[in-house]
Amino acid sequence: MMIKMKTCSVAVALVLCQFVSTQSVATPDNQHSAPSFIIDMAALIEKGAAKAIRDHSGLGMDDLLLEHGTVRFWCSAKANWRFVDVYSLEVPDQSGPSALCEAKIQLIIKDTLNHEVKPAAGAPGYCYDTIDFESIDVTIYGNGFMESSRGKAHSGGTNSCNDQREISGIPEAIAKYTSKPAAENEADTGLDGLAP
Amino acid sequence: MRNHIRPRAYRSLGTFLLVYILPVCSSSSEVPFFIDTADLIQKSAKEIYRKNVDLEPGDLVSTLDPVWISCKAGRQRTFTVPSETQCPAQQKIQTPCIAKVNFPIRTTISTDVTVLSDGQCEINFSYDFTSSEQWENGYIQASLNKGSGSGSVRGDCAKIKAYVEIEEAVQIHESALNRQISTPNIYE
Repeated sequence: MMIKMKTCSVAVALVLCQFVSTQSVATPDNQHSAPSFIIDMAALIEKGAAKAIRDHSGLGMDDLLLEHGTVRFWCSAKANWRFVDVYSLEVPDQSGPSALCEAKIQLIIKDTLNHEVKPAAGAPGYCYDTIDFESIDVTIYGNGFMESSRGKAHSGGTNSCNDQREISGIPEAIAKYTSKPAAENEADTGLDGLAP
Repeated sequence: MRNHIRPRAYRSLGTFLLVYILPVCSSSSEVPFFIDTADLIQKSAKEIYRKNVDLEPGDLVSTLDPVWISCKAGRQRTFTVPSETQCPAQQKIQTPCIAKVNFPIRTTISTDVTVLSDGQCEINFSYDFTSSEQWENGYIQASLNKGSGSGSVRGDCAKIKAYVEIEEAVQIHESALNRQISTPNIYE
């Protein structure tokens, strides 16, 4: 009888709770499932920057910048064979390593960065934000192989003037992933944008 | 260490991650990420079917590469912690990286096949999809919303497909990962 009463009160409590809990948050039915991925962003950025410095003489850690949120991952079941070496035109051994996923880090060479922010015409509160720069593009494959190349890049877009791109030095970029974020950070219930 | 991992010798990714990958990730000389897309596709599809009561088995298919990963420092997600005695509490977790998986809905797929001058075929296709995202703690949140996508594939007319069954996608990605794991990185 006691058990029955307890079960009943729990049920009532749960029903009441349904009214006060919001419907937009995730329920934890599968929260104990093991993750299918693990990414150490701090180590990834550190390795990428070290590779860039090793491969491109004259560059030091202080010469490189990274835009927040621009490390890209690409996973394809097709083998991501090594590219042909553009200098020697050597074709790599096609039976060599292939990786399911790769991470691409575009490091900005500080001295070449031209960053302009202008008010967007006809859209009060919005700014047109462009950057031009020379880059060291580092690819880290899932099997550990890394390669880097020097390139040029440009990106521009219109955003709220209060929400502009964040560009920082490598130690600061790493620190963003190793330090605890401020408690007042905006909460997010997920799946905010469906399309990649 | 990679050479000691036998392809298909693991299927419990949790064990695999803990035994092999976590120690590897903590070492500065090794690969700082590991993504098991086969596991992601399989678990995500299961969770979407579980959450979307309107979906019947077989309603969803997969593109060849349906996984999309993004990382942003400071990203948080909110979830509800259940309790038998109290109201569920809402908790925030840090998940800088998330893995999204999109599954086209079979009945919405439209395809347009063109035979190219070299005898190969190109299929242009569009579809509505449903999606899910997995957080760093393994939690999968299935969406009840739909998006729309498109793509194209080119190749041998008898072989190319606009989409595959989810089970096929899992197998293809499993093979690709096994191939990666079993091939030593001779360029290092």
